[in-house]
Amino acid sequence: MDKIEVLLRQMRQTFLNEMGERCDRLEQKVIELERAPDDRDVFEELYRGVHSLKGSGGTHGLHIITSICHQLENHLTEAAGTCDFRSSCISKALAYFDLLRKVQQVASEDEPDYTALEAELERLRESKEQRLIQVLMAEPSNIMRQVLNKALLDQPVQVTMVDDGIAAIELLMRQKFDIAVLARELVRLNGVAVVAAIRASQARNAKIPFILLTSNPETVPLNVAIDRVLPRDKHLMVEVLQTLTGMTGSQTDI
Amino acid sequence: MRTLQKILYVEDEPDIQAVARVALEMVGGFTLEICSSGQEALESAKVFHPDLILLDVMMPGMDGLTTMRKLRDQPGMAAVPMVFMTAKVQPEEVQEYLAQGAKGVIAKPFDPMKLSEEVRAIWEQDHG
Repeated sequence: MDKIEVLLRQMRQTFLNEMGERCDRLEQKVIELERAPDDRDVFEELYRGVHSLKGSGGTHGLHIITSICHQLENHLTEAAGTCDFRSSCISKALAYFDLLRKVQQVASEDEPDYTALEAELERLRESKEQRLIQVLMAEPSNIMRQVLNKALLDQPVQVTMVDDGIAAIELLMRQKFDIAVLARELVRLNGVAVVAAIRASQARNAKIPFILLTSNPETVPLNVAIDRVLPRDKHLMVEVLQTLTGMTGSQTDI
Repeated sequence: MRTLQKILYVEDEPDIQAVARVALEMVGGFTLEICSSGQEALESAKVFHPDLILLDVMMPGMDGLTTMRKLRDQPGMAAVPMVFMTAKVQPEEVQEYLAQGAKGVIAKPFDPMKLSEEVRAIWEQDHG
């Protein structure tokens, strides 16, 4: 074999030998992001590391590494766009590093066959993230808020809790939600007024479902478009969870 | 026609630097100076006096385009052909680099056995 080709092959092997360590370091950055999703420095360091691995892999003729890193870059960019480094997103990022380690093994074989790894990469590309249902919950009782938060812990929902009607309106004006659950009795502005204001507005949440929690369902005005009125009785928690899990299609033990 | 001998290559990634050294020195027979950043290239160009400069587009700190502009402002550098190396070789991006004054764009990852030929072809086109 040509002297230059031998040298290039040796350089490629050195790169492969060191790739495991590089993956370890980048995986640590992924874990750090799980703890601090807003840390731009950690994100930049991770992204640069993946980009660098992509360039090096390609230069060494390992195009499977370029493809894996390219897909991982896209995954990181999507997650960063929403600051959404939740556990499923983190697991997926880690799955890419597992794939890179497999390349390390396969590439060292005499006649490397990347077909299985390419199929695995395709599966990773196709696996869509389950989007979290964004819930705004306005509830004045601290205990009730804690109970609801605990009950929704395992559900694919992202709950934003407030105890104040004005704060609820402010959030509904500037942030997208999929559903709002409002207590009728709230600090500063009651739940019915919040629904009426948002429905009358051009806000992005003007048409989302609204659920009202109240001790007196019969006194709720009929001219406000509230999707469900749930009485504050012993079934309240069941009703709230069933309504939300009906939206997410998930199961819950209550 | 003047012969291409001295190439200044600006690339931040050590793995790519090492492969480029093999490609340009051993395969191409050029005299090569490698810099890891745009800032380093500005200093190095003053003493190395390259015939041609290869620039990575995406570099931390000063990117390839900025480095090219600053190099051009240095005495004796205005006529030195500069060539970008990038993984993004979409037609509109290539047009943009050429419009900014680059003499050519080489796609990354490059083939180490063919990189010298590509560089030489751009040189000859520029000096033909």
